[in-house]
Amino acid sequence: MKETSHCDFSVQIAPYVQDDLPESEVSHFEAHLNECNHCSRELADFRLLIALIGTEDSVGLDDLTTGQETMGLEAATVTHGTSADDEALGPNQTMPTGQASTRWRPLSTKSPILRVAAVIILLAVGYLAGTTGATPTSVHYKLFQDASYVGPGTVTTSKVPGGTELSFNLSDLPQVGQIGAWVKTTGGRQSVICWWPLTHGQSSGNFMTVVPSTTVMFSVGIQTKGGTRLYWHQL
Amino acid sequence: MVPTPLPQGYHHEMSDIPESKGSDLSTYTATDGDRSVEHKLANYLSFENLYRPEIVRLIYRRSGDRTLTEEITQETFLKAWRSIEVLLEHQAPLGWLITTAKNLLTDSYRRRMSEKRFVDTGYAQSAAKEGQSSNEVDELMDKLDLATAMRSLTADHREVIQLCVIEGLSTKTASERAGVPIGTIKSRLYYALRALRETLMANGYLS
Repeated sequence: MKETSHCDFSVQIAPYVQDDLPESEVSHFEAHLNECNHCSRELADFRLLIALIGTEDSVGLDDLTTGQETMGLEAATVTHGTSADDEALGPNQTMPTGQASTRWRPLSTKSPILRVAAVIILLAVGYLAGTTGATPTSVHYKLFQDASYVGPGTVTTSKVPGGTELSFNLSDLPQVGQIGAWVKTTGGRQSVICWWPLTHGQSSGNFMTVVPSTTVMFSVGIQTKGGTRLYWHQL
Repeated sequence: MVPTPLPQGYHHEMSDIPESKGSDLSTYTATDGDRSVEHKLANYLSFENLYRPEIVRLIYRRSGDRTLTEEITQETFLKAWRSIEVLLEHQAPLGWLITTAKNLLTDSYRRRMSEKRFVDTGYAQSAAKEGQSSNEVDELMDKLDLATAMRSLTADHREVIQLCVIEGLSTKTASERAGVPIGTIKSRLYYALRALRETLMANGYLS
């Protein structure tokens, strides 16, 4: 095997691990691995790094544009030391939101009910990441549904170890089984970061989640399962 | 570190699938419930046969570990079995399987890291006092270490990791998103991962 500190093949390692290398190049690259210690070591390290970093979904992000949430199904995730995710998914259920890297904590309720149709609420709070200091900043919003005023809500953002805490105080909630918080990140992606179950008849509550500091947020919002959109507008 | 052939002929762990009814089939009359279960099982087996090779290939490419690949694949399809009715109606079942498998792999690696790590920091003790389990403490430590390391990267390096690793975009799509050639993306990704590794090694997260 070659012992080098640099190899021109090195840039192929990450695409290979990510299954992004053209099939025509895979066998060539694998043959090279047999004879290059440098690339073999880098491959082992990159496999570990890529796995540790995880996916957006492994930190609870779920792309709204894929339509997956309307099917009532989210990617299964794993939480250390719990068997909560061993429950079966029903058509009206989602997987528990415990994640390998992030634990989402509902403050207001534990009781899951049915999911219902379609509402999406947007909450524009501008560029949150990197702009919030040690002192929490609070921004107030009105909730609109199809241009009809529904009720007020607030969100408080504050820096915590490992990320930004979003604390929502919501009222006049629609009668739905769950509500979810989403963030809009770089590149315009809107992704659900967690779901909170609502008890029957619950119309208000405080909900908190932490967004990892690796996620750069441009806006955050609240939605329920489905397609009809509700929007938050700044007062 | 030589790549070995993909594992073949995985044993299907079907402990979660209902067993067949009785031994005396000549006198047994199938009920609607049985037919429903049989229908579900048939659907599941078709589903698994269709997608299993893709998941095996993906996880083996990412881990290089046959045993781990088998474990992750088994667990992925166990979750699929439990959600098969929904998955059969899903617009992108392969995407669901891939995401699930990747998350399971991430969790497996993080669990291994936690097992190797000796947690005895002020932060860990503080968290423990608040009733958090050692696993929760480990998760927090993971987040802190990774977040700190990510922040230490240049903007270009953070962007390429965000696009290619966290969002899982292909280098082609990432190059379009970032507005730079594919070669630049590949090069940046390589050096970004190296920089991340160096930082994690410097702070003791990786050895």
